[in-house]
Amino acid sequence: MNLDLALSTAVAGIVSGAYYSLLGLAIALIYRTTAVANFAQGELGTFSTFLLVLYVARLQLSPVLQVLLSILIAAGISALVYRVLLRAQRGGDALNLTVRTLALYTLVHAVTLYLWGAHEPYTARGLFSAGGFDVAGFQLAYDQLGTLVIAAGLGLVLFVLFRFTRVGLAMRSVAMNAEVASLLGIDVHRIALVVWLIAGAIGALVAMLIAPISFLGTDLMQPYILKAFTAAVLGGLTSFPGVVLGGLLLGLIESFGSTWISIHLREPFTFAILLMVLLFRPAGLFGKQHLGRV
Amino acid sequence: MNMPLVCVPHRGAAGGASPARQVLLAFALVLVLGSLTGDYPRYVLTLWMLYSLSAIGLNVVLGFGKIYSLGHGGFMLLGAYGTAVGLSRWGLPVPVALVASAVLATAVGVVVGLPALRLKHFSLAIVTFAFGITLFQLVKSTAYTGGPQGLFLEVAGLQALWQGRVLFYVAALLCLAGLALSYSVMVSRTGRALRMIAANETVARSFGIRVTFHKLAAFALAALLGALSGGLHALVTGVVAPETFGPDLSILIFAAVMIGGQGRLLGPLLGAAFVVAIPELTQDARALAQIIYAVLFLVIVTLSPSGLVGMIEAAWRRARGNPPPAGVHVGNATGEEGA
Amino acid sequence: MTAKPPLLSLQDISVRFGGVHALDRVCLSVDTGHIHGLIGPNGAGKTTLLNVISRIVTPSAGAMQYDNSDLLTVKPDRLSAVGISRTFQNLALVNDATVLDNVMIGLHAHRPGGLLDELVCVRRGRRREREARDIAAAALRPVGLSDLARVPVTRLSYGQRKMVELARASVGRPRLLLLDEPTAGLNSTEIAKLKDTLLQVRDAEGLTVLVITHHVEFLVGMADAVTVLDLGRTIAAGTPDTVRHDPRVIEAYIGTAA
Repeated sequence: MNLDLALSTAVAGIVSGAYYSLLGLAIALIYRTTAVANFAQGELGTFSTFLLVLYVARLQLSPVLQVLLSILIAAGISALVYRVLLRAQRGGDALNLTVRTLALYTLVHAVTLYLWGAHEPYTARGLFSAGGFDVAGFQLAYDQLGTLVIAAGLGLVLFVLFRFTRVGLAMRSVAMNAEVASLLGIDVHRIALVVWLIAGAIGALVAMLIAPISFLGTDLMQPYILKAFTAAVLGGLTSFPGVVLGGLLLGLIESFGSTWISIHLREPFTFAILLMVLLFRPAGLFGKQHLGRV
Repeated sequence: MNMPLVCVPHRGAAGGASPARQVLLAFALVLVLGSLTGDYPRYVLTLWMLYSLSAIGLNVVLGFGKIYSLGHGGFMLLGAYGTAVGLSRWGLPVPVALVASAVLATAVGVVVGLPALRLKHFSLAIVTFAFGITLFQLVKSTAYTGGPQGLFLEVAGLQALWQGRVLFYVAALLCLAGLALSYSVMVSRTGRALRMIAANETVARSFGIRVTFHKLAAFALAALLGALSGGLHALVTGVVAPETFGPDLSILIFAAVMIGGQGRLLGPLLGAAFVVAIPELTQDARALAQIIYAVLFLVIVTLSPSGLVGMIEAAWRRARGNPPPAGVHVGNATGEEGA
Repeated sequence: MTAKPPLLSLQDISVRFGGVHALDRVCLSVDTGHIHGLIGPNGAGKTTLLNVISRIVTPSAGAMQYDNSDLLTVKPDRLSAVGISRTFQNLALVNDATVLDNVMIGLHAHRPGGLLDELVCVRRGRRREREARDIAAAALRPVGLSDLARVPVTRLSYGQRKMVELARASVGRPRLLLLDEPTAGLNSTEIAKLKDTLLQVRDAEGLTVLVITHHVEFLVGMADAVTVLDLGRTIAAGTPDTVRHDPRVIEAYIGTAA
């Protein structure tokens, strides 16, 4: 493999890896604070992207504002999901809550299909101009660069949030041990709400980054959501930086896998790698082993 | 009908007919109904029982063992494709192909269970899901298994026997056997051990329970029932296509188990009825049907963590004047009395 | 005291989690037929010690003997078979199962036959099941739960659930019973009843008991010996009376509700 191909494969890998990282982070955040595996993560993103392209785009606002508005809507919906769906506990354990998100995924998918499925795919206008420029002998597309910049920026914002703000600290404590956190005076439900808000926003942003490239259809996030879960697991759910790294790694493995081996066997190849990693480190690459409590 | 492999309860809950008799009676009714109706309703009933069979298998792993297996569709795929390949490529007689693919799937089930020994919920869910997807991709991209189009089985003769009644009876028999097996597991030492493992693995081990054996045995049973279900599905529909046995199928059976009531004996039957009936009843408005299905799914799992079985029990209790205790799992399925 | 060797003996057992010494050179000796109390303030390492004895945690140093053989060679899943049984501080019951089902788990290691019996040799399997059910039902009598045999555990009070755990631990006729805070969450009537039950069972079955408790009073008139832990170390050992008045023990407990 010559350098050009290697570099462009790597960049493609890092870009998809960025998607997986961000989504994986959203999933890990929700999982760590509310013990729910959010199956609906991707679909809410798809839904809000449809809203953006079909309705918000008609408003007299700059593209950036349109995107921001749609992200806000998505965050709101996500918070609502937490408030309505999951707070209505009625004796549900973690598995039951997860199944509720599965049902929600089915519902949102059905609704998007019903409302907009007939005329798909739609084109979504990209946030960046088309074309690209030459770097070290290969073509780096503007939207690839833009994606990387936005993803990195978002990653930085989240990092600062977690490390240097009170809310971030509260989120980390809840993620570590919700019971103890509440004993320390942290309003766990409020933090969970914030987490779901953030996760919803992330999901929407990623969907809006992807839509211009792969056409907006009801199955937009389908391939990404499983990878996001995989990234979270690969990196180790207990470590947020781990999840980010896991996502990037996953993107790279996948990219090189499909170039070297075959695009058909890309998934099995990736999963084989995952299995091998988990064999040696069941808690993921950077996760901490969970000791059984007695 | 005295099943040789079964621990059957003698006495009923409130001195009424034993639950086993009630279930047998219900089945007899279904058999009679299925024999008398037209071809299409019989076909739907057959599908229901096939999905029930598969869900019963998954219920052992997911419901009793609380092991997040999201790749159950893979076992059905093995059964279906195994039977199809056995029939069309190797010319095996139908029962042999069916049994052989079931045995193969059981062995694979044990292998799939191995990650369950070391991985916890989330990671295990991903790995098992990956198993399902991998098989799906494999059969889709291999010519031997018919590629994206799949394979056709020459079973028109079998299907036409008694206008589909033979396959209907076979499905019913297998479903009943699966139910009996599931009940046996539930009230036995093995079943108790499995549920103790689900509650706390370390503690289970301290009581001498061999965790490895029980988890793998659970997967083996799930794989066996899933494969039989898939194999029969192939015979009933006459075709195996990758799309039928893709990751969506794993999610479907998972949903069936949860909607019906996970860990409950009759839950899989109700859940399977739900996933088969709703699309059937809303045939004409396809996209709207999906929405209705999803809404019902959401409502059921939110309002009743014990699924449909829980809802029926609660309604039954209210009808008899006893208010249901808040947030409680009431024991195990109907009829745990006696041995 | 008798000249018999102790049933359970620990020498210099140490457990380290990272840099923290959960247990630091703990010595313990429990004579056969004795009820031995293990007390100490929160975080003293009592449960960790029980975890070591029940082979859930492997000590980083030290030696243990049970019934004259090296306990460290016994694997965790052989515990019940060698006659050691325990209860758990945070209750580890199967919540949606009945009381009887939960108690029957205590018999798992003591019943021959397995899956084959249940599926194929039906008659024998059913007989064994019936026998086990009878034994488990009998174990419910001393703890007063006979009427609740078929009730799901979730419907029971905390105190009753602790009794279920006790029944589960004793149904298999263990030789050494390890109890982790059996009195926590019980009211004074229940505590008195527990005391009686333990004494009865010990006298009838010749059981040896190691019991962790916060209630020092519980041990008076019942325990033959007491060991006191603080911050992972043994700070005192002796009869309940000597230990109660030991200044080091009193100091360790100042500020903690006894």
